[in-house]
Amino acid sequence: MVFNIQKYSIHDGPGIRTTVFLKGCPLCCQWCHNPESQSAKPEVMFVQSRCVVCGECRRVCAFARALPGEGPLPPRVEGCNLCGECGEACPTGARQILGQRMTVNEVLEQIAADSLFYDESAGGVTISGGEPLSQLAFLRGLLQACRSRGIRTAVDTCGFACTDALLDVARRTDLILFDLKLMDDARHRAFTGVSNEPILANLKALDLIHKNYWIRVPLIPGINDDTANLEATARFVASLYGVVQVCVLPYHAIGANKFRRLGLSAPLDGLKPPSAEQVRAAEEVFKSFGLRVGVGG
Amino acid sequence: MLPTTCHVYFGSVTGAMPDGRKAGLPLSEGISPVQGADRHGPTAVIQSAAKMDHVKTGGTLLNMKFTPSLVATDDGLDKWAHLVRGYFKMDGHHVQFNVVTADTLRNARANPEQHRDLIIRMAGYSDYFCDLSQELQEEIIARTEHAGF
Repeated sequence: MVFNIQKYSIHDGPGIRTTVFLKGCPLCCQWCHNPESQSAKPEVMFVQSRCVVCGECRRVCAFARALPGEGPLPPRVEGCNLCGECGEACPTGARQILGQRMTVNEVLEQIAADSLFYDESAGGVTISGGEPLSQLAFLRGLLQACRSRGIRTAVDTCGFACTDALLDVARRTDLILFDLKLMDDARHRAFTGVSNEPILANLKALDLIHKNYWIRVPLIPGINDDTANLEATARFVASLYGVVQVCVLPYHAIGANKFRRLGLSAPLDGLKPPSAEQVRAAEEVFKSFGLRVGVGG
Repeated sequence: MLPTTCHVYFGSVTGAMPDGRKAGLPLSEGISPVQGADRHGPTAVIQSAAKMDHVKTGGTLLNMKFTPSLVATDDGLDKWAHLVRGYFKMDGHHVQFNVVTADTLRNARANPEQHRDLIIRMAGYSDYFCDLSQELQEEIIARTEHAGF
């Protein structure tokens, strides 16, 4: 289940890349900037600014007849079976069905179209999400197919997966992008919905077999940017062997927009991105532990 | 396809077209995609443009638009250079870039149908500028001005 294939990705690993976003994630981080990646099922996304209020979506919807009112449908219609008629009928693309079942070959075809740029820039494909390890068979198949075409791969993971699956995938890919959010387990549970214990255990297991991974730390003001958490994260990362670099990813408010398009309210609505000084301070913490740090990417 | 700046004049004497372009409006610049037709990003534009035999054309012009964040770091610049080299490897002839200014973004906010292709890219995320809410558009415009482009 794929929700986006993004060409000329330059912030998700080395070189010019294509990022394949898989749908479905075991975490539900409050700051998630791709909330449409959380559910493993297709979803309706509604972009208000594109809507011309023609009412075509309502006219073709089998479930809307029971709904009061006129004009465009709300993003979530009760009883909706995701038939996709409303998206087909929408003349401006304001209403879209996100999430498409694709085969390895279909995805590979789109990836391979940019091979020349990967060769030129030492880039490749990044498989992200959602959580790619939640679609293990597809992920393995895609990694295998890329490898046989000579396309380098990276897998972007939240680390919440079966250890055997992670290690198996690590052996089939060139680079792992591993996210670390919060070191305190109670806070991790509160803000992401799951415990960080399996994530940290997986990272240690990965460290023993894989010598090429990046740690990505989203920087969320007021949630994980305190010195105690950053130092605990840096200390943990510094104890590992195979870390190439740490990427600090400053929070941005753009994802909040996407919650609204899905008909949901954003849990952190109104939260401001960290200032340049805050980002620099976080960078310094990681540097003080002797780690290589980058911002973004 | 002429590389000189005549798309405005040619447009002014061309009637309405089936793609929705109204009579008298400018055509696209040289071999660049028609305004709003670039929906798959720079690598797709370059591959389409490289499909023709540039030797037979007497010169081509490809204009591309980038947001400043794409080229703000050394890493971003390196990747940009790789993109251009890729085009020349496919026997492309000439490409020029506009790194958009705050003014372009204001124009995009006012006329979204002309600027559907403006993409905002960040780690693990991308979106079309025109689909963002007013406040976010404002924020990005302010940031662009601050960046000094």
